[in-house]
Amino acid sequence: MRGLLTGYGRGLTLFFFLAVALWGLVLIILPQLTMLERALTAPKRALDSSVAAALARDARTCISVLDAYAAPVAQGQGSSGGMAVPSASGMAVPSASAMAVPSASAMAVPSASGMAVPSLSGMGPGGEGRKAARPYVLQCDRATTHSQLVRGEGEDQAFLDTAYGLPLLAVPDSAPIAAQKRTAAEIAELAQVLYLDLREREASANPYTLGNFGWLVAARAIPLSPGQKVIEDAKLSKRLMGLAGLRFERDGETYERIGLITLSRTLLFAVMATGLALILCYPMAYKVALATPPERALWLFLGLVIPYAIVELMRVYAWTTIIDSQGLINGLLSWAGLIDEPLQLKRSPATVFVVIVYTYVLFMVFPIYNVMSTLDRNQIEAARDLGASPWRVHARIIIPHAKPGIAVGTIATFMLAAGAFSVPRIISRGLQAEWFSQTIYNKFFESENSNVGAAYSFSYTLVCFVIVGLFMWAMRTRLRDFARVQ
Amino acid sequence: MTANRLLSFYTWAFLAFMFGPLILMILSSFNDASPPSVTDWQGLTGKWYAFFWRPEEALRADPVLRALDRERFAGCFGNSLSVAAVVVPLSLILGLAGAVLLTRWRARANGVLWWVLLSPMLAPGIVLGLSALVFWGRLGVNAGLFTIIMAQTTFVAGYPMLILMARLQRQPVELEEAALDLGATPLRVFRRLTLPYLAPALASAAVIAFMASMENYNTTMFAKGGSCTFATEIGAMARNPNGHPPVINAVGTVIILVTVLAATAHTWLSRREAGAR
Repeated sequence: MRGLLTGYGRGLTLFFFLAVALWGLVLIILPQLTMLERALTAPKRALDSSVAAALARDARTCISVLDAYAAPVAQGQGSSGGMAVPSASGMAVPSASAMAVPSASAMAVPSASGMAVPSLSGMGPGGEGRKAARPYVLQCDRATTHSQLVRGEGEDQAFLDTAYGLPLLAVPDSAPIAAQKRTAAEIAELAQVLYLDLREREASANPYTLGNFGWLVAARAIPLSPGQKVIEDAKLSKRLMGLAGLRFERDGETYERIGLITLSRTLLFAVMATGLALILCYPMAYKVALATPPERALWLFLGLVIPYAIVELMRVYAWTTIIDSQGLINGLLSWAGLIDEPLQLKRSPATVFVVIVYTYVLFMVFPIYNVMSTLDRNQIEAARDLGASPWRVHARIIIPHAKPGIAVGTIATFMLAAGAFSVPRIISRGLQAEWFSQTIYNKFFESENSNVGAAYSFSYTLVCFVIVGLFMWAMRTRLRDFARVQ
Repeated sequence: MTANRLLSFYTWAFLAFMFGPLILMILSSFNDASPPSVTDWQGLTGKWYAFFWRPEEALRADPVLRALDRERFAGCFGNSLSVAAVVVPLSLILGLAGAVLLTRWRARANGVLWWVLLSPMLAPGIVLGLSALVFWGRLGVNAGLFTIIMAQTTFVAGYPMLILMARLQRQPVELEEAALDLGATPLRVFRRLTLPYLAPALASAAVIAFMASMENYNTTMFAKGGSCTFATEIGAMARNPNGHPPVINAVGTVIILVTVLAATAHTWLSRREAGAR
């Protein structure tokens, strides 16, 4: 601190600290904490208060729809018209004992309205065969205090009326319109009161839950015909999933933990891509850094820099010319008469894998090259003169020297491959099994519960950092190497 | 010397793997066929380039080009430029501050600071975009150019930091100390000694930050909301289920050309500099 103060003065030091605090807190730490909070919060629509609010809204919509429906009828009825507005006579007693008026004649006859009381039986199967007093209105059908609450798997079903002691009310389509509206109004009133009460209770309760993370490990039943099942069961990947507990059978149904399967497949692909990139890059870095006279190495180096500097998206896009149905590979194969139908290369995970290796391979070359080029060539000469075989020179001199570069390149490539989003998105256009990054995108932007997307994203960061941390520990790499190598 | 020959052969194969797709992309940008193809040669054409300056009527007459929205493309490109115009200076400032603290601040917290400041470069890009979206959304800011800027700065600032750190570590301390001893204020020393010393590193950091901001797709896709940038627009065009137009190839060819020229010039200049020394 003292060195900073004497070197840069109070004003500048303060400025640097402020800037770093801004970067660290506002851009890095707080967003991740918000993400964690979001991941731990139950989705709003799953809260009981939201169910109550939805019920109140449905009931109100039901009333207004019925208003709109009743209006022309009332006009047509002429003299008996004005009656469509039910008097708030308090007749609508929610008791089940009330006399249900099943008569179809009640339809649009407002005079009968005051008496009609919603009957329970109207909701049951017994209601069938009765003539409805109104056309199908979704909101009216949904407007019942017997609304199901959102509960997790394994928990008992719960309903609004039983859980919070509400009377059982519904809007049967057979009751006269005016009665329906009165019931709906009553439901809306009850639900609104309950909503306000629940919201208050929920605000003081602990809002956090691990439920969103549960989606990641949740198992889904996979519908399979017996024939398909035999084929699927024989696949090696499916058997491996079974061994890992990602796929199992219960009561004759096949279940798969889809979230975890996508996650582990993505990580596996990323590890494979990183390994392949390392194998491809080591000879290349060696050639440019050590096995070429510096004059010519410069131009080789240029040959690596140019593809590295070209916009990533363009490098991905360039592959579409090769793998399209009318692309180079299909063109050559059909010209040679080997295929009649174009191969659906876009659908194949192998294509995505190859393009990922192509796109991110150069992030491996440069760290290795940078470290290797600091090695004194005389050391290699000396080892050769003393009779070391080429393998031994690599194993004992070059690789130990290049280790920090290899570690940094591996980490960079792994992270890029694991987080690859542009490649699967552009190459496969959604035609094949997803990468985890796409799953996160879909969960966040296209599913009904974006908090699950936040949970996925947070878990993914965590998993990736744990893998990188373990790797760095195993390779004895320190973060400082990143500054040295890149 | 068979081993050496094998290595040379491998080198050329690797370079062919790297450049092959790019060359095919350039070739198909001159082919009068849509979607772009190299096997189905329909004749040499420059119309995929001319798309950007041809008059409206000529475009409407063309069956492929009339489906494309030139204004939108230009707008997205402009968005990218304005995003980069904020991201580059911001990340230079943050990167400089980070580099100074990481190299000069001797304290226990230094190790933590390393982890915090380098973590965005290690994290998957999508996570950064998503967390910026969630965080600023919580503060009431809608997704748009602002969230894109924030999300990009988070990791782009790391590049200037690494570059400047390398340069700062080699800075001779004697000059600075002499100036301070002679009574210069620290601010003056910083302005007259440190900044000029860092200038070349700052310039290359600015170029790298600009490129990182322009080409970023993963982070931007998550933070963009309803707006678009150059990269997301290219991505959207490339995903077009009705066949991607070779206009993208034309854009790519221009990008490749610019990159090749810049990289060659840079190599040539640095070589001349090295030779002069």
